[in-house]
Amino acid sequence: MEKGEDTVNRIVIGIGGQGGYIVNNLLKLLKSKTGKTPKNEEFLIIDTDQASANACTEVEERRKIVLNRPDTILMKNANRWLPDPYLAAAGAGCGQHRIYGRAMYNVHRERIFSAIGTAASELRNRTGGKDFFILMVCALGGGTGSSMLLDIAIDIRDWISKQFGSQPVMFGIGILPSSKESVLPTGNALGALKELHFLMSHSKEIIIEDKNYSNPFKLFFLLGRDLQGQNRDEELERAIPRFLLDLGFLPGGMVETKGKWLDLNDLQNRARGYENRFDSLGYYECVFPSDKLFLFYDIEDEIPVVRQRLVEIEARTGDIRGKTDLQRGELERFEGRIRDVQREIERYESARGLLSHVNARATVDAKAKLDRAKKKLSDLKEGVFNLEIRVSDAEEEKRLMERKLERLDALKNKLLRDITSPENTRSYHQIELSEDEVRDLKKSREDMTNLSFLEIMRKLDREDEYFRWTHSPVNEGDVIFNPMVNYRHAIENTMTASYIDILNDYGFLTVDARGNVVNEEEKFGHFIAVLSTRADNFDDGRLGGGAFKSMVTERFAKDADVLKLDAPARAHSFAIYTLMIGLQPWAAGPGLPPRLREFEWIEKAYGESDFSKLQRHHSLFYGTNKPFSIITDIPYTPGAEEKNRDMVTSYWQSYEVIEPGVIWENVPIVLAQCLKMFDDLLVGLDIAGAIKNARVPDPESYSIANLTMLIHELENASKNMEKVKHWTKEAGRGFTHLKDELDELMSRLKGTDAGRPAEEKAEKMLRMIDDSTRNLEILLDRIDAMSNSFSNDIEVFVENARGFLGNIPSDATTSGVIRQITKAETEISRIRENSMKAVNGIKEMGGPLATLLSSLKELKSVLESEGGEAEDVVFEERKGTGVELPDLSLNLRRKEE
Amino acid sequence: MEPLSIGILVVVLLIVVEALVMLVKFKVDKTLLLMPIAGLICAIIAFVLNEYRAEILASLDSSVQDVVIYVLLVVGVILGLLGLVIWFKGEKEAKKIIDTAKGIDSAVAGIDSDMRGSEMELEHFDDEMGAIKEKVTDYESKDKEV
Repeated sequence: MEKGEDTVNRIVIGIGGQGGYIVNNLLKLLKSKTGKTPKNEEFLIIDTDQASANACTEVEERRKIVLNRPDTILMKNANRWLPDPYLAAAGAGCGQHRIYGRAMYNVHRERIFSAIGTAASELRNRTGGKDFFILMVCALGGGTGSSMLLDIAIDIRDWISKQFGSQPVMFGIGILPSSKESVLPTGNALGALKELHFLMSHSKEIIIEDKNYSNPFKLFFLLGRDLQGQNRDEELERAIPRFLLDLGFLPGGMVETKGKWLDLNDLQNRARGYENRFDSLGYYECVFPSDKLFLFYDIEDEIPVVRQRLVEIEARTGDIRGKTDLQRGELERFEGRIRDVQREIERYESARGLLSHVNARATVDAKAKLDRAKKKLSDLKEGVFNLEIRVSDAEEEKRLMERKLERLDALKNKLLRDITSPENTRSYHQIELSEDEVRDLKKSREDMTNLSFLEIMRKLDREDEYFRWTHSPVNEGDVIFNPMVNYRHAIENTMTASYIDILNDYGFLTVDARGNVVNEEEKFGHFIAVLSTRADNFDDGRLGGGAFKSMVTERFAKDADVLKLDAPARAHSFAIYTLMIGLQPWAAGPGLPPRLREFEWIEKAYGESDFSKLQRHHSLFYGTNKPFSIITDIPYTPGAEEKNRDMVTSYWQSYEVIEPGVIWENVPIVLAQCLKMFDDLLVGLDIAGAIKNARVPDPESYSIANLTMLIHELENASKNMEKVKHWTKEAGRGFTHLKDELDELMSRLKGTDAGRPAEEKAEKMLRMIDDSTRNLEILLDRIDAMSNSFSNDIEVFVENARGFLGNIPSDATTSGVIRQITKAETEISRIRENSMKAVNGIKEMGGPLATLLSSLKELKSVLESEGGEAEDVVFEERKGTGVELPDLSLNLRRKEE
Repeated sequence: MEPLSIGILVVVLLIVVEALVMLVKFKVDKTLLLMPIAGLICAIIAFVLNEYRAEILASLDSSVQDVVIYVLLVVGVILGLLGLVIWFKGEKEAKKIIDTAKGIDSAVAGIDSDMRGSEMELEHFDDEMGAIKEKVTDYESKDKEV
């Protein structure tokens, strides 16, 4: 974007404590860069907590909209639907109750709009432009921001559209709570996300009561406070303003760049089609610590100068102190002399008469002089006193200076430490310099200002390291894993290889030459990497932008761009900003973790609230029954406020943050689980059946060796029987779980407008269902046969063993042999006992398997009713080869997860 | 007129001049003027006695007449001179006092200017230390920025 051509009016609104804090930071950075706020930008904060609003010192007072808590009568009158426990809030602001925030918004709506309207009108008058860009920032876990965000967004869009005749472009930034926060904010976040997703999924205009309920946001960025288990507040604090300013969302504070690049229109074009999905940002920066170095050198040079000057000052203040002591003595002496002279004058004057002469004029003159001296003397005495105080102050100040000098010294050491052993994070890497390098570079500090990052690193003979930290993140694709939320790009990280193999076999995903899973459905919309540095820091050959783009589009995103931004001011830094547009935060399938890991803890916290407490996590549509009813097709009862409120709460409780069409993507995952379980079960049955192959020595050929061998066989058989017993128990549990998943999936498919899957996919799913059904039928047959033969096999084995033991000659029964016989009999009774339980377990599998079969058939009918006839496919038997009994726990996750 | 009368007249005139100077120029205390006036009166009496010696001092012997006239003249001269001496003494003392007062005044002024110098120096140190402080703060804030 060319600077100076921008006539788009920009309004940044921070809602709630964290929103206000971010806007304040943004302003601080903006002012430090430009010294003032650009004329086409306005910054507002809306808060319900006076203290946090006061802390936003950079925001103009008239742009602070602080909403006071109304009394309960007014609150109830304005919000008939508001339950009594929420008529007042505990703590500051909205007390983290979204429902209270909604009620506050209803009370203060006019005030909010008057303030925003004034700012918008002033902008319009200043710039003459009618286009508006509005950025809204808030924490999704709080009470104020998360509750007012949507209403403000809807209302402000309508207001600006009507007022200025053009719809504003609106972006949102929502901060997700960390996993360490309490239940209230964490649960709020899911409430807010549900409502936000609900609105975002309505792309067409829905005008009800003169209000448009369609998605107001072009892009909505989700950012997490807790990344990979570590608090990242500091990074968020740094990254958000840098992102917004450097990338020109707020061009007033943009880093000076050459040429045109990604502007709002470009960004909107890239986001087109993904407006209904969430987005995120990523930020990575590698810097050469030139600023720190220059500061270190300056301080290093300054310290001896200051120290010398302080020594001089100390000497001089010492002199002055000596002088003032002297002067004080002098003044006292003169005071005495003045008194003497005055006495002398008095005596002189008193000697009047015939024999004396008094020069009156002289005495008057002398008196005047003495008076003046006396007056001055008293002033001087005060002056000396003041001087002494000032000398003391100067000495104290000097001591303070010495302490400051010590601080400066400490700062110097800290800087050296920062330079020689920087604390690098995932998103910030500072080149580490040795003390020798720090010393060497000082000689060429003047040149260093003009040298590029690359040239300095070349000079240090560390060119490879430069490329490793600046170009490799792009070249090797690391930047894609660095968003400011916990996002899993692919299920391969969460799913065991056997499921991936099954899905691969049926063509739901592919595995590339390097073993990476490629799944078109998992890809997010658009990935944009903006590399910002001075032009001479780029090496296109090493950057491999094309290869990166191919890699990203092949595995992670449907489209990708790598944009180079020549920023002359960034001679010694290499920043990589990433935008991930169109994320899919939901889980790839039942039993799998959500891609957006934040869902793990926000769903848990939300689930901890019972129905009556759930309403504190929600805001949208409370009190606006008609729009809710029209949009959701759920009828409401006019006047029954409580009933309608509960209806809204109930709707939100069951609302899932997922696109209805995506539910079909879960079908292959559940079917893969079925297939894997059936495979495992078949293998397990083979292993269980293998017990009949246990060897028993010929009863006629007794020897100690044969007796030992029999005991060994009995022990093995006993252990296997124990395992089979547990395994059958696990299988029963696994089938029940699988059945539940299937039922849930079907109810979701029936309950939502999931549409129908593509023809090709439907065919694949039908193939999977058919295979599962066949496997299930085979299993049922095997179980039936096995439950009959298993007892006999065990009985034969036990009888043979008993026969061998009974034929042991009496003369061979030494005490050792008797001990062995006792051991063998114990194992035999254990085998018998466990085998009975195992047989029961195998028999009991039949029940869940039969219900599973009916569920599969039902799923098939749902699929066929949606998608038509499927082809018959040839059943291909899978057979495991492991000697251990397979894991039937249906845990899709990898162990390392 | 005989020479003595002329001499007495000169003395009279001198005393008159002295008295006038003391009165007009030196503006001496009126009491002190009594001295030359008394001297003047003596000289005038001496002049009158000398001029009218035959009538006034006829009863006295010629040598006694001279003694009376000369004594009066000398007393007149002495009183005239005494007046001057007293004036000189008073003036001298006044000068001494004024010199002392002047000395004290200038010494105090000297201390004052000395103190001003020290104050200025301290102000300079304050500025310098303020500048150092600013620099340290600047370094510290720069440290936060880098």
